[in-house]
Amino acid sequence: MLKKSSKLILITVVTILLLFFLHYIRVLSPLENLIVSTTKPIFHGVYKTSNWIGENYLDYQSRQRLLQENKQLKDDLVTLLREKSQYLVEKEENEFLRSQLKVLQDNNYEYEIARVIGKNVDNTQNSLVIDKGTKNNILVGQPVLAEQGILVGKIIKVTKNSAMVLLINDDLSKVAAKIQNDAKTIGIVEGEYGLGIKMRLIPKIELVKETDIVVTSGLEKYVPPNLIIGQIDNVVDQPEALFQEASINSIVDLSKVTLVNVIIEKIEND
Amino acid sequence: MIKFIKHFLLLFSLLIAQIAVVPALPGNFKNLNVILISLVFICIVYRFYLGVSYALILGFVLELYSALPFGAMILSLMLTLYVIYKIFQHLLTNKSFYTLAGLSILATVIYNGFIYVYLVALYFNQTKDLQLIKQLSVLSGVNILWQLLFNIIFVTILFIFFHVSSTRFKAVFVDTVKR
Repeated sequence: MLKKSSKLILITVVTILLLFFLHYIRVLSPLENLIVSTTKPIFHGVYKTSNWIGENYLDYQSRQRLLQENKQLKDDLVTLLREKSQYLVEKEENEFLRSQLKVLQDNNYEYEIARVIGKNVDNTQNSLVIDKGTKNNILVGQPVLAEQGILVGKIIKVTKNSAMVLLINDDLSKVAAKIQNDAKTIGIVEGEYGLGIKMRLIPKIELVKETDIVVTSGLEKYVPPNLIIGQIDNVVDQPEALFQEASINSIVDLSKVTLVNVIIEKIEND
Repeated sequence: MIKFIKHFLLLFSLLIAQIAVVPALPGNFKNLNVILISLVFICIVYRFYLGVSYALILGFVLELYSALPFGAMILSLMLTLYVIYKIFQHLLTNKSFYTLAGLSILATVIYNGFIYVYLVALYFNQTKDLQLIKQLSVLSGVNILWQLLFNIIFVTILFIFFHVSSTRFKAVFVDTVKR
């Protein structure tokens, strides 16, 4: 008599062999077809759903990755914009320094380059605040030049680390000047309400014409001669007036000055 | 009737999981063998012959969706369960997690070993290309390793679930419940 476990093993083996036999003689084909036809739609639906979930998960992952990348790129963009801005500032300074170097070296001036850090806060004057002061040997009365050596003003107030520059177009600005003509006509260049520059006290007998260049005369203590102020734009000669007047056009836009040169003193050649 | 419905639902869920869900998983997750681990679990935790009956039915349906010759899946499952049960009876005799994990590893290796032998025989018979068989061996080796990993994870999940919800497991490491 077989043990129960042996019986069960025998039954299992016989079942398996029977299954093989019935399959290969195609007796089980109808049953197999029925199982496949009933289960196929369900498996298909579940498989599609699983695929959809898998794809969405991958989409979500790549979306996260893209968001991360986007954030990184935005951060990089900010950094690059900052660097670009820095580069443009340095480029402007570089160009200014190159143009100034030539002018100042040709004339042997000792100078101090300064940045404009602000304007006069009370709006009573056309003046600029620069970032150099007495510790850089800046003194009241020294001339201040902008690009290409054009005079834009004079120092009117100094502290240890900063100074105030009175622009040449201010009402209170007065510079001793001369015209580069045959007669070397002298006069005073004054500002007009912050809008323009005029040369006054030009003797009536002097012949002055438009496009004549106006330069400093060198009669002031700290202001060397031949610093360009501007070009004569218009000459006003009224019959009843004692002197002529000429309006001067400055090459420099005084409202856009960001870097200046302060002439400390002229270096005397031995 | 209710018992029959329970059995039917369990079998159908396992089939859906193995045929329609697992193959759609991304990456190497498709190497998970839900049916094999579930059968090992049922044989060890419940009754061996219940596992054998399930293996017959599941194996038969899997054969319909398999590219292997008819009988490969059923035979592999049966032989695997037989070896596992013998080892369980004579060597690892308690229903602890270590037993389950160890038997799952063994079942994975034996089952895939049988399938590998079938595939090699099939390839050799049809192509006589040893290079192809070598590539198959490498690929099968890698897949078996992934399957081992995911099967262990799956059996751990099963164990934890049944440990919490059933009295068939009393402790994680050593079993004190009578069989």
